[in-house]
Amino acid sequence: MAAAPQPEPTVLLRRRRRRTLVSIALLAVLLLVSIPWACTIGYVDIPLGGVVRALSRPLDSSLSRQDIIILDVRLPRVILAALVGGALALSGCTMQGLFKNPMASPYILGISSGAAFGAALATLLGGGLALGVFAIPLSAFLFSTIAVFTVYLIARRDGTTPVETLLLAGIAIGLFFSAAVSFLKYVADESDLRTIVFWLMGGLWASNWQSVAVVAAPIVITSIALTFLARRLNVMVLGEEHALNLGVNVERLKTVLLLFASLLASSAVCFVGIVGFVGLIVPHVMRLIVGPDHRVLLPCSALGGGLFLVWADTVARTIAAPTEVPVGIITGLLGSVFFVFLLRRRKQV
Amino acid sequence: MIFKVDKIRFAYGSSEVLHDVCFEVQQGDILGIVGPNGSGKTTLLKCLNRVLKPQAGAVRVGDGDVSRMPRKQIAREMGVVPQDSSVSFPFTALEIVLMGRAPHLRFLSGESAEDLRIVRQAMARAGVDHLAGRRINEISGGQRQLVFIARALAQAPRLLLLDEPTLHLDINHQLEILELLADLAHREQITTVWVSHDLNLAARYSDHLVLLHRSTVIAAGAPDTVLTREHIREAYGVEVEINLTESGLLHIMPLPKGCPP
Repeated sequence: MAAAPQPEPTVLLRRRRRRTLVSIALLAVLLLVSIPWACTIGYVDIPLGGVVRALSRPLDSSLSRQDIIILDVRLPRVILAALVGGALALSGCTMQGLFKNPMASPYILGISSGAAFGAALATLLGGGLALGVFAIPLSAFLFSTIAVFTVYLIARRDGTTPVETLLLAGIAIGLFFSAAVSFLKYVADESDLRTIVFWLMGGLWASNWQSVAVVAAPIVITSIALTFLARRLNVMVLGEEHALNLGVNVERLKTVLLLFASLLASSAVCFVGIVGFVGLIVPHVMRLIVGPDHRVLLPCSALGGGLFLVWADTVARTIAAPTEVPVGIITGLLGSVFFVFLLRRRKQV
Repeated sequence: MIFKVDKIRFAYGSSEVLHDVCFEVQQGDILGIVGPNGSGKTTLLKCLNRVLKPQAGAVRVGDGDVSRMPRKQIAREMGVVPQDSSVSFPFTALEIVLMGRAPHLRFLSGESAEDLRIVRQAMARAGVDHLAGRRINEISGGQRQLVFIARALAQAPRLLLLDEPTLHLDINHQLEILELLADLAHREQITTVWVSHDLNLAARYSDHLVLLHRSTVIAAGAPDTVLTREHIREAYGVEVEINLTESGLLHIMPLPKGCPP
């Protein structure tokens, strides 16, 4: 096989660095443009000028009806979509690296089932919890965390946590909580059942500035921390033995990565329910575009995930206006179609 | 610098895999580990750089005790080429070799120009510089093995450990890799320990051999003193004919069962 002449490593690296910067900058600009743009779209169409006016209005001026729609309804929702989408994609990307499997998702360790159980339980207990609007997200977060910790403890033995065991423990705990959710659905009354079912489909209808404020901090901080671990994650992707051979403290890194990825996923789902496919598809697509180096892949996945969910949610709230479709249905539909397209087009992923 | 393995013991649970294994390698020498399947060759190799922790005994690089070294330091002392070189993510060969610099980098830093220079040198040495931009999962098994040797060289180690580096390769690639190892050891004084199933290649490309059988070393020394008919019968349960070829190389030919030696 006559190999075509290859460019110098220095040239390859310079190209890679340029591609990194261009990809990240491009996605960041797209996301920054999409946020106000998505705010213009909805049951009431508001021109971009109106959005800009609402955003740049002096603090003491009185609010028009249009300003209220933008500032109190659409903007927090779009920002929450960006945060949740970013968190899910970043979490999925980390899990895929950790499990050396491009098919892994943020929910692989039972986070979604745990969160679903928490949400369903809080729905049934209702006002008894006296936590008001935070009852469901808090309970969802708590039980998703419990699910992941249980999985981790089951898989841990003699100071090591083999990923194969983690995967299987994740399936077991996932099944357990799914069964528990089924039970709660079975005993729930009509209106509670409706709440649970809607939560399971995932939707951003309950978003407000409070929810944005609560999830923004963990998501942003964890994302930055994960980016710093990207070089080490690259080595992990080759396998744990490779990582040990290259001087990586594998068990410690694995624990930290699992912690971050789980925190991201739990924060993402607790307010909006189980939004599927973002965490699977986005890192996948980004890997096809920018390659497997996590130093580029992680930030690009985060930005791409935000971008994807902002537009998926825009479709979800406008396609059947004045009612809306749960965004989980939209991401599932778009995601699966796109996935099949990728499968058919690529020989290997 | 002498690489010394002193009475290593290792067990998976209650089944002992290595029992009081000892050997010594002088700097720039090549030591081959041979033995039947399940005799503990791969386990031994993994104990050398503490991928597995021996329950007793010591591994020393010069004055350094490997059991007390931080993992990063071990990775600066020893470059490893593992048996399984399959990669499921499409990294380029250059990206793979760059990972060899990981044990030399500080927490948040990326690769410097100096790191890149070392990587280029390692790739040139292993003869894979022309593959830099190719994806690791799209090149042949022989080329992939050479890329992983380049990565081990990028670690700038004093020792190279290789687990069956010629497995599944055609004779051309087998020779290419073994000639490279011989050159690295004898010219650049990189002490090498390798595991092999091929007794003829092991004899030809090792300065010393260690024959493992049932968790212990049953023979050690120069290839022609280790690979005798008696030792091979004991370890493998097979009769062989041993000849010297015209060029003075050891040639071992297994005989069919029941055939008189």
